[in-house]
Amino acid sequence: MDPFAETWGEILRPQAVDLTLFAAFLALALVSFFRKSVRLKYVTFIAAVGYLGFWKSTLLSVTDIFRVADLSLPIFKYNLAWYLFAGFAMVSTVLWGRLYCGRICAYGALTQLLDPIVPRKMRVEIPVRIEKHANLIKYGVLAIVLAYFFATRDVGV
Amino acid sequence: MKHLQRMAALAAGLVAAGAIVAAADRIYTLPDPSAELKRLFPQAAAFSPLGGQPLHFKAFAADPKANPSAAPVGIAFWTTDLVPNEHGYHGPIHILVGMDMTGVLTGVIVTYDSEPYGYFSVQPPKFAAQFKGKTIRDPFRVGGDVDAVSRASITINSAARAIRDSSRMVAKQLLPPEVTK
Repeated sequence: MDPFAETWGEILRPQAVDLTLFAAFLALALVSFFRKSVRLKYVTFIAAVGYLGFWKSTLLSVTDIFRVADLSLPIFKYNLAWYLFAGFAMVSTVLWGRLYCGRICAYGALTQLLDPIVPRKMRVEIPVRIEKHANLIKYGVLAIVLAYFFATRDVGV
Repeated sequence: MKHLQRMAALAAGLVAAGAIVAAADRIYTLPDPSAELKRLFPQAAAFSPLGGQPLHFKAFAADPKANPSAAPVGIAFWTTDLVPNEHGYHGPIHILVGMDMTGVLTGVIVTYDSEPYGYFSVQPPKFAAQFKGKTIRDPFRVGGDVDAVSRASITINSAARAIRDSSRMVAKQLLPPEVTK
């Protein structure tokens, strides 16, 4: 018998807090999304920025594209919370559209939280004509970042 | 629609370019870790080349050419050779581990990582320092006997597991049976 064999209890116990908190956060995001409650929406934003943003520093980003490109994924049984997060983001996007961007992503939540706070005087309204074209910039940035990664394999872009 | 097609073409082009570059093998592990081996076993007079099953270096107190029957005083190995599937947030973390013949770690050295948060998790010397003196029977639990690092839990957990699992594998196969009984 292997004296170092791990039990499922030993594998799950260190992940229990993260899994519970993450499931609770997803439940909150789903309820606020489907109830269309403004108050719950802001509670979700605060939770997204505080929990996912500052505490866990977890969000889907270009780094995840690097991981998939390299087929370099973490071991499933030790990273259940991350797989739940990534799986939920993909499935919910297919089923309900921008639930990830609109509720879960900490960056999106932060900008939406700023929306009611920043005074109208400080805002700059960009003309629709410019915005339409400026929207393409992000694809250019993504292409440059990906090209740099594939050329150098440096993830610190 | 035209815009969507353009984006799809761009994405396809990038994926194809990526696949070509990804096909090229890259080896980050130090080809000659002599200085690192000396740090793990300062008292050793000589080291065997990397070899055996599982792959490892042997550390000898006296040059084995002069005394071919001398037993090794310790073993060093790369976590990437022992647990190649153990990936952090982005890829394997390359760690050289030294272990004496009683299953006690003489030290670990992180030589390469591609973790986005590596600079504040596995790269600071205090990460490696905490493994010196651990035995293969220690739990290696992050937040317990291994310091947790907020915002880099996937990286830290992967590195700690890689050190734990590779040390136990080597101990089971290369150390005297009573060590792992």
